Amino acid sequence: MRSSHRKSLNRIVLVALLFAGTYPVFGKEVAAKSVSSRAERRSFYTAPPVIPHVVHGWQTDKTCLTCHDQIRQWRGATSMLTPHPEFSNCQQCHVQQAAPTWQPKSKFLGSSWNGLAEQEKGIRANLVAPPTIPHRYLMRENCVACHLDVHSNFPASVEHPKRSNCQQCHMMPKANKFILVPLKKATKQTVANASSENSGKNSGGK
Amino acid sequence: MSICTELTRRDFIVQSAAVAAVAALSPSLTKPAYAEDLPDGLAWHKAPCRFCGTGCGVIVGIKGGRLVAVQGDPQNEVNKGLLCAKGYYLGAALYGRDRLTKPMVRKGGQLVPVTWDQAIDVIADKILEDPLKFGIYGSGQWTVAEGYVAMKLLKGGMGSNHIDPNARLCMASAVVGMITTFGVDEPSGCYDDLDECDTVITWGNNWAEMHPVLFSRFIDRRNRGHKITYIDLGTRKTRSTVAADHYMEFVPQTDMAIINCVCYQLVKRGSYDKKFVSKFVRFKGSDKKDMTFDQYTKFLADYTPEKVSELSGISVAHLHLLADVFSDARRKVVSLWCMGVNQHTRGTWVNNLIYNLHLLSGKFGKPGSTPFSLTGQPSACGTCREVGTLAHALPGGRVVKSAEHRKETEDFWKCKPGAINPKPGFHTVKMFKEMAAGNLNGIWVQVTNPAQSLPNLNELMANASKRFFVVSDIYPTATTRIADVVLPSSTWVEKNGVFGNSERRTQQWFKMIDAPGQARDDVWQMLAVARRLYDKGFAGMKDRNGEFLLAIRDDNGKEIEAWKWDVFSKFNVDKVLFNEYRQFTVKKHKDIAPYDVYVESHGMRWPVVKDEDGVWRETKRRFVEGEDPYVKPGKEIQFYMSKAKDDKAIIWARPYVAPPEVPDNDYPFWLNTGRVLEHWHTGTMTGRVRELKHAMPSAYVEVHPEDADQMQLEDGDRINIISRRGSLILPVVVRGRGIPQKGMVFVPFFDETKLINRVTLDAYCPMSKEPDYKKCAVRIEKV
Repeated sequence: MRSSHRKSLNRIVLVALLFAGTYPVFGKEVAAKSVSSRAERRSFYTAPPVIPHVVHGWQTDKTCLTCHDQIRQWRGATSMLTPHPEFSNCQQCHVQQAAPTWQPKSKFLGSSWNGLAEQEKGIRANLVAPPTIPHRYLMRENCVACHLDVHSNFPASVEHPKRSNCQQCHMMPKANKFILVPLKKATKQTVANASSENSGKNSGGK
Repeated sequence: MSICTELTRRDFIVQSAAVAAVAALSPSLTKPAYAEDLPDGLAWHKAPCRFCGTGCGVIVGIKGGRLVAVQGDPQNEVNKGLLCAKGYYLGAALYGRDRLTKPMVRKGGQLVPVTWDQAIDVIADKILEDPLKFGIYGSGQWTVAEGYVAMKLLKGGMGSNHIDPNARLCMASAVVGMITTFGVDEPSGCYDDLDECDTVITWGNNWAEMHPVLFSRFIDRRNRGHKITYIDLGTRKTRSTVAADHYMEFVPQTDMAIINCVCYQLVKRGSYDKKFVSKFVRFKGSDKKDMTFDQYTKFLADYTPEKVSELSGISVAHLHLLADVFSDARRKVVSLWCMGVNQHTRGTWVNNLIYNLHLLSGKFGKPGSTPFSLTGQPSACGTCREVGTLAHALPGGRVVKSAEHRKETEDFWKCKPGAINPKPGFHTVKMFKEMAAGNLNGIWVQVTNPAQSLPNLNELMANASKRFFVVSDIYPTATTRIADVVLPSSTWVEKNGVFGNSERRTQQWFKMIDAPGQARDDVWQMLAVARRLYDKGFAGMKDRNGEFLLAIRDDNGKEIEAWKWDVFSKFNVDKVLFNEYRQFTVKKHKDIAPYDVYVESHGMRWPVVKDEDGVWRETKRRFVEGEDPYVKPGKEIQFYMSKAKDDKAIIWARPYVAPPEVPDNDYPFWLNTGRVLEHWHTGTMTGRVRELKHAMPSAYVEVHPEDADQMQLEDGDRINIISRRGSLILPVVVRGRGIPQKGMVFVPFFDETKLINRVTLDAYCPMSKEPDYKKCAVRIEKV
């Protein structure tokens, strides 16, 4: 069983070597640039990105979508397309980082917050395998919202944008570690509420 | 742009070699190495969000003993994976540079660091000066155990009832509203009704900012194609208004007349639910005397659409539209309200009136049809209302005035008979007035910031620096600045805890990280002071057997020295206190399950009752047959806690009453105050989050565009807002995120450098004692 498995894998590697040059494999620089640009707008990995521009005054629920309903390029800036247009109370999660000029600044007292770092990139089972998805997927079901080459900072520019069933090939690696935590795992406690004499039975806490 | 070109020859060789090497070594390693690529030592745990009463589930990422990430929990039915900005930044809120890490005592005017032992001693000595004149001011952000320990210490041991929470400023009107209508507190419906309804009505409520996750629960449904009509009744256009199909702007306080007008039309048209009314409802006048339906009809005669339109400013057509909604038997209507109704000098009555409307129209107890009172704080329900940390209350819906309730409580606590004082203590506004007047010796404040959040601060916090305040908090606040003893607390996932949210859902979490420095749990702080009182020989801290009143016992019944931090911190005291508190909850059918059941769940809505098959089963809708285990078969709807024991709810004839202060020639504007999405209450925690502070750095005053034109005001101009009590200078915004009605200005209260509560009024609802932060008279002057 083991050796046959190894054989077939070796065959895959050989095929990989033959075709490697024709598949998009991202260089380290692109990945690093992508990670740093993602991190710049996120307090921690999985946080919603902040709004990098001023949001002026009275809003309707369509205000943000005026630009963010599709990718628009204007004066050198590119608007992100929202991957979740059904969530239209945008500023519920995304907060502006530049208050309007009329609003007085106030001193920020400092923080030692050090959020979880961005995950670098997906993993390939082998050289030709499609990479896994390195990030949380919830509310980002529309992959091409980000993964188009107008966003030069994303490693994302898929070479095959017409194949829109992304998860057919790109899997979520134990994604569940980032999304779905089995409750029993999520509720560990180390102390037990039983005195030493009888700790065998009735041990408290989980 | 082709990414292929980015792949250098060297990268290619390295990658190929790596793949080949891995393949040769071990087949198991050739599988995608998921775990290895995830950050080392990262663990995820469940908790409820620490901010509002929605009670979203979060999963908290912990790495290297620090909190590093917070995600919405997709498995939690409350939020289904979604959060709001405050929730996402929960972690950062714990890491502000100026966290309090040492106990401090004021000496020679300065707060100087002391040991915990010294701080505890100072507090104990102050209490012993006169235990009857020492109060506790707590919070809807207290965990269940924190509120419970405070109650046992004060009501069981110190002999007075001077304990009240900041929830008095927030939910008291909702509590009295429900008790008067249904005979028992807390909403009968649940969030699931938002998924089923076809009409949502908000009564003076900006849920897009204050309960954003619930707002999204509705708006996402609509964006996915569900037909839902949203009617927003308010005095100020908000972010919620932009989603509304109908916006009805009314003159402050006239909500009372508007609701009576809709009832008037239902009766006049004969379109009320006759079967529901005859089976499940009775009528009473405000003099508490029973009324016949005819008498109630006569009472309503004052509220014709024409008259009410003139009073309220809402068009007759809109008043008709509201009646149409409630007349249509097929429609499923959810009413939502929060501070606009509760912070009202007739808050209790407005709560009653909304219930009237739903009872009269039969829009009650059916999926998608419910009057739903939203809660402000994460455990205003779980702690303040259920544990009963109020001046008049005892745990589990009991009151100090009842001899029976006192005896039951004394028995549970094993207090000496008669230990509990039958006289209600001071409610919040009174407590601080008595403190200002010197009639209380001291107040211990936990998890709240009254020096910023009380109304009419100039009066209520007068002489504060001369009075004895103990303040337990995690950051310096307006209140720690006037305190004599400052205790550094652990917060949220730095301790074990249980919260109860708006929809009766009890949620548990475990401690995940250590608090910084010497910060310690609020429960421990209370236990330590109680024990010090015991050690100093104070009789109140002894139970009827002469043992320590607040003894904590392990699963084998052996007492542990929980007042010692190294013992406390290695033991789950929360579990012991929760299971002890449980026995109180059965009387009013607010049954909660044992602690361990909540450990394994994402929260459960009480009453939680054990089925015959041994499974603990939650209740979505109270008083409804088939859902609530306490409703007898065949009853359909049973208000089993009704005071008259007739299983009926009460429709109260509540007349319109003018507010105590209205704009006049000297003070021609209404002042309305409230919150913003980015900040939690007084901004103590959210102000320490870089992203939230940048997004919303400072307070402002919203002015209606026509008023601004008339006074030639533009964005950024500064105006002085002056009331009979105080004044405050703020920058103007004319078309900000809210637009108050003409003749009204609006100011948020989160900014600790701009205390709008120096201007607000402390008049309160005579029944709930909840003050009105939403309307007082001011004049504005350009500076």
